[in-house]
Amino acid sequence: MSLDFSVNNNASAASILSNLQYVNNEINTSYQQLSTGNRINSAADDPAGYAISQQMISQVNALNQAIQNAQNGISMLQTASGAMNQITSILQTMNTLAVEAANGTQNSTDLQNLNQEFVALQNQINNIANQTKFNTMTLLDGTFATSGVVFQINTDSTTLSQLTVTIAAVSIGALFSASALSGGYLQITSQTLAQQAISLVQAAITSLSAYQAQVGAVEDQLNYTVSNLQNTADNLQNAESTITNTDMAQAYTQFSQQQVLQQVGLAMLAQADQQPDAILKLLQ
Amino acid sequence: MRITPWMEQQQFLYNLENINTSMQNVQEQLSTGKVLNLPQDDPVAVSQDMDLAHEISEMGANLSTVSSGLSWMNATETALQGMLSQLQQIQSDLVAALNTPNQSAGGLAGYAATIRQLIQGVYQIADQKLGDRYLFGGQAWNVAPSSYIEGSATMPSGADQNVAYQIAPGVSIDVTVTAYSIFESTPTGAVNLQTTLSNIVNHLESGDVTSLQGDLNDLNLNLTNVIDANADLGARIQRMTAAQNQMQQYQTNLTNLKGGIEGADMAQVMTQFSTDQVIYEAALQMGAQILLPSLVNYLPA
Repeated sequence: MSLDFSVNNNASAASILSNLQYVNNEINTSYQQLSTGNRINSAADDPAGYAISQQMISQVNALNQAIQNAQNGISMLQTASGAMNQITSILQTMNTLAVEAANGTQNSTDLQNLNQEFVALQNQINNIANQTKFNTMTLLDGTFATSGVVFQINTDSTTLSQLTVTIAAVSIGALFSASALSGGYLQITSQTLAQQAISLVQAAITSLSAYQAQVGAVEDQLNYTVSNLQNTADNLQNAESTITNTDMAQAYTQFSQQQVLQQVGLAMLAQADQQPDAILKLLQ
Repeated sequence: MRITPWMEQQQFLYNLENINTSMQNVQEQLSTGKVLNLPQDDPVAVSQDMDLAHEISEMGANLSTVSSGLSWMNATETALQGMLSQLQQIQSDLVAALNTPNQSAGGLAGYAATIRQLIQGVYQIADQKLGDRYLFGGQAWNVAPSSYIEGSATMPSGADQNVAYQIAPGVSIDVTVTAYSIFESTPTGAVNLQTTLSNIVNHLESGDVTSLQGDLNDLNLNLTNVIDANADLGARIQRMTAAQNQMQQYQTNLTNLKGGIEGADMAQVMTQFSTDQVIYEAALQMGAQILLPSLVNYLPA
């Protein structure tokens, strides 16, 4: 189309204006991308990338929570195994007392005194078993002996995302069979009883070691879970960043180019707007 | 042939009138800047010109529909993003609540209270308005979505239907996302979002940990659903924006075309005017100098 000297419609100005509007929109987008640091600021910027990145954000959030969960789990198990350590050392002291009582050199007063200490130690074991709490939950009284503690260590609800550990009851009633107890405690008031007590206490130490091994094993597993989850979360976070983040160098280069275009466009528009005036010179 | 002064005068007047007519024509073009001032100036061009004017005004109406659709969609998109981040927060809290070390009575109550507030936030966003219309109301734009999603009110007709804007003859684009599609549509293998949210609170309050595991699964699937709904909306915004750009360009082209048809080439018209002016002045001079002498001038006084 040849352009005449028309005064009603300034075609060159209209094209320049249309280009300028386009450049302005682009600059606006660049401003947003540069100031937020994100290439995708709304679903309209890149619907597919947006959907992927949102799924990743959900997963990263949940993974971070799972890491926290596993760390809470480790603290809980540490509390339990610490208490079990105490109980083991008490049982070892009890073993010493029983061996001492089983020796024929003790008279009945000695045996009474030894028994008094022996019972007091068992009382302490019961205390530990009933008072060891984590977040108000009693750990060693058998609450978790059957259903177990469930650690939610991933983002979904499949069995693979959950780690279960049972914590056995470790009170005197649970460590020793009821028939061996009198008055709720193991007694060493005679040499015979003391000899029986030696083997019973040693059996209790063995089963307690097994419990500790069980808890320790899960604790170890949780440690690896935490580092694995952290790894996954980091990788996902990075993947999410590559999708949504602005390539600042590229964006800034584009921005500079758009700025030049905008300035040139404005200057040209001013020129083009004056074009119809020029024709008036013919009237002079 | 014998030439009489009368004939000369008649011929002179005739020429003068012609020049006047031509100058009148040029003057009309100069003062309006247009070649087409009356249909008889160029019937074919005038009809083309009117067609173009009609097309330009139709394009203007379409553009205004597109821009109002875009503002509606952008508002919806922002609201959906807000909703999504609330739901993601609920998901995190739920994962925490599923961990036995966090499941003391106080812990569960705390999660229940937090999640209940977050859910309130979700429904508050669902009731967001643009002007006097509910963003997520679909065709039932005057009824608050939470009244029939969260509350027990019957769903008004049209609440599950999207509003479509006609941006060109025969071309319609949905501009809404309905609360119905977010809260009441059931993803495969899960219950709908509304049920999921109320289940979560109920199970947290009753301490039903086993059911909470199922709720996490439901929530994950519904979260995907909402993300997909927003991505779909984003794709529609892209389409609408592309249509807007294309229509703006088209409108500029049409306006230029119309200008080319009806606009006067001022340089040409002014040259014509100058020429006519010279002719006119010459004619007047001629009239004054040549027509004046007659026989009467030579009669003895």
